[in-house]
Amino acid sequence: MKVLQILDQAFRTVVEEQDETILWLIQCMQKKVELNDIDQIQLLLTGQAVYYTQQQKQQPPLKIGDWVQTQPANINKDIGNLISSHIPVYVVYEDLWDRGLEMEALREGIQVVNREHLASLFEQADQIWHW
Amino acid sequence: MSEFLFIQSRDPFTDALTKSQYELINHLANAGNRVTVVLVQNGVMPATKSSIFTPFTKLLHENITLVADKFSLQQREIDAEQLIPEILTTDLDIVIKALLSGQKVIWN
Amino acid sequence: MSHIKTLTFAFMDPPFESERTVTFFRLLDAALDANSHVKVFAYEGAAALSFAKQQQHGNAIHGRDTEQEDHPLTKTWIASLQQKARKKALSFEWINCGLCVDERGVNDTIPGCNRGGPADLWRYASESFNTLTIGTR
Repeated sequence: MKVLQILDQAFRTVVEEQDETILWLIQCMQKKVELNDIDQIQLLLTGQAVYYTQQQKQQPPLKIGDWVQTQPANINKDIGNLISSHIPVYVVYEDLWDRGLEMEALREGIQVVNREHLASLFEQADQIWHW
Repeated sequence: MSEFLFIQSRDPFTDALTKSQYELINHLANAGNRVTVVLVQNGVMPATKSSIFTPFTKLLHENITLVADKFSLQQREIDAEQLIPEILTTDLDIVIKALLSGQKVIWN
Repeated sequence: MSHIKTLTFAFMDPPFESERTVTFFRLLDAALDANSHVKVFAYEGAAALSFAKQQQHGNAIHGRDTEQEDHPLTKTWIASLQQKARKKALSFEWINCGLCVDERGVNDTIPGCNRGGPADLWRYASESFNTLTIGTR
């Protein structure tokens, strides 16, 4: 089963969950996927989630009253984990362009796809899970 | 070629990403895929004759079947006669039938 | 019974904040109408859908007491779907993301809703004929 996961939101939950919950979910499921050669997870970043391709630092720690966050999210590390787990990670070129984000800032291993070519990405997947 | 069903809950008046979702649906149809779009919740709002959002009208494509959820229409007091003529009304069983026939069903 | 297909649904929204919650439950109902077994993975806010301590209340603006108001509760909708599945000899499985449950303190669930994790979502999807995910906003 080949499942294309689509993420179009960004910076939702990253403070209170200390990670991006869908990237976390995918990392958890990947442990099951790696147990056989049939299954594959792919990730498509679109909409605001294209910002995740540009992240370089850990998220800033939140301070509320005397409470200070000690373990802020590290999106850069999460994306790195996905790539090193051989999960194909795609980003939509037009969504980068619209936001004025630099192609040069993309981390290695992320594949850029034009919106027009998304159709073939959708066609090759058995299921498409839009989060 | 594949069969796709999109459950379109987002509306273009509040969510800019909706336009690119419509575009993708068009690309899939242009590539020869059969696509059904089920408009639900505020996703039904551009389906009326009086609504003006040009990218939505591009979904009136020979490979695209456009339907609107009856319950969502009732909530908004939109009668079937107010819809663009090509758009029929439906219950949500259309989504389940698509899932059970192996179509790729995607929530937007 | 082997010819009956199973559908998996993954859902993320909490009980009272989103129209998606209503559509999600309508889809589950339609799946049972179509004689499909159903598996649900409740993630994030959806972990509270089956919280047993949800309570109805009256509404002074509506001029109705608790009984008259008969406020909808998602735990009741789940129980109703469980009952519908039983009547039709269909299975209706429900797993809440355990960490999501802990964070929200909604451990006390109605019967038939169990605790699990993301691996269960992948297992559910692998065992099912098809899967639909409904993300939150």
